[in-house]
Amino acid sequence: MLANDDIHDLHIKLNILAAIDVGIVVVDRNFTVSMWNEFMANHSGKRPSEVHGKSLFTVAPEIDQAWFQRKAERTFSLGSRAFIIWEQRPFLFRFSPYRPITGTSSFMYQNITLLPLRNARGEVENMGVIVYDVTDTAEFAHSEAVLKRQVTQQPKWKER
Amino acid sequence: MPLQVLICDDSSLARKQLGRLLPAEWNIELSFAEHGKEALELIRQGKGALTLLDLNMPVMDGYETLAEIRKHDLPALVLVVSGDIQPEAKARVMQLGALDFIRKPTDLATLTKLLIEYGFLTPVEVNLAPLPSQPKRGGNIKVSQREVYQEVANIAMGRAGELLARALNVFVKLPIPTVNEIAASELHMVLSSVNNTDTVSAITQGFTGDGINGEAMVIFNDASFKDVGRLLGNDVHAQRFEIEALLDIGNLLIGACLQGLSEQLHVRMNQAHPVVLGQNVSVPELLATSSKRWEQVLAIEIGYRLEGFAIEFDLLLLFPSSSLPAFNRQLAYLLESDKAC
Repeated sequence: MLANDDIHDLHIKLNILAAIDVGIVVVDRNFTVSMWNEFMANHSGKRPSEVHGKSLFTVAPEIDQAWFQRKAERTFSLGSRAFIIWEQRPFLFRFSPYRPITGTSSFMYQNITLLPLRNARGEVENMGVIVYDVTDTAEFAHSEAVLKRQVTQQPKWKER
Repeated sequence: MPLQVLICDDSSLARKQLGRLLPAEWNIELSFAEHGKEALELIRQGKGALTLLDLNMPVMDGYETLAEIRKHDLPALVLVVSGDIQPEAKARVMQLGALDFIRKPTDLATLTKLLIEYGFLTPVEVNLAPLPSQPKRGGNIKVSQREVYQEVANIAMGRAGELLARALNVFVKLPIPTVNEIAASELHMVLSSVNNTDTVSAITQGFTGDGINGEAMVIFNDASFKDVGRLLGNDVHAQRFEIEALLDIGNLLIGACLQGLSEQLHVRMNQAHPVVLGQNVSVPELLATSSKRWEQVLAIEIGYRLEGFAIEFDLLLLFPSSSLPAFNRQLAYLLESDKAC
């Protein structure tokens, strides 16, 4: 039986987990989804009940399966955390950007963390996929690169 | 007659720690050596009946020392004590005639168990109370702060090397880490795997825990990329295969190294996402935009080489001077009450 305090504590944690602006997915070694938080549900339009027990690659067919399995295999077998950054692949899940009107990109840029999750025996049985929205950073980097290119080009008044 | 025991390690911290771990009630005469050549001399004088041998050392490393002992049939039984924990390293030393392999950092229980197992120590001796007047062994070994950094990096580097070896199925040649306190703008001077004409690519990753913050940087010589991509099983024709390789290697090295570091310091670290510092640029260009170029940093450089491949990359652990008090405070536990000087 949970004590009252524990329930209160759990309640707070669940609320935070639901409201936090970061995607959290948990899969097992066969890439079957067992957790899909509200960020994931809201951005993908797929409710947790629709994705539970399904393969990640069915739920998100945009993922390059061979590539992702190679990354995940290392996390499972070596128990080491892995990072995927937007410069490497712009996104893992194809989501619309947060600001559909004033944003400049047509998708959400993402940084991903692959987290080995150990069971009580210390074996890596599950993997957490944490999804961060880095669209602002990526858009800023792009506009800066464009600016740099413009600045280094010979300005017109110098040609005279 | 007391047993002649020899500890051979280039790190004064390692010599001190190991000396202190030896059971106090054990009837031995203890000697120390800083590298294989010194060890061989002492063994020839009969001072190394039991030799505790490190692997990565200057002048003469542990492998060469073992080979010499075997070749000349010198009177030494060798227990290897190493931070290089690749399965291949163990296999090689066992083949060279070592009794067993102990991973650093070791503890009293592990060491005692092995010493009993090989008959150097009897359980009766272990249960004898140590003489109160007996000074701690190795108590008079002086350890400089630099050597503390170096040995801690050595163990962390060994973890990273082991993970890398398993992931790539290669043998990783581990160097001796170099420790420098320099201005951030002078970092290019400590990089061993690149000269200033080479172009490099690098990622950097911030980490922080309990007042200790810093950056871990992985710097690749651009010439190494194709081979690395192949070893990783990545598609080397893909547009972004360089950055892919950089991230794969960076994830393994930095993750394992920080884990090794945090275990020794008893600090849990948070890691930020890695950031691409530069691609196909010269080393001075890498750090040109840093706004803190003049701040002093503690730089620990580790140059990895993969045996049988022309692959070189550097792992740099950088600590700003502001995080050194917390770093040193945690390190002081390693030295216990003994004063570092």
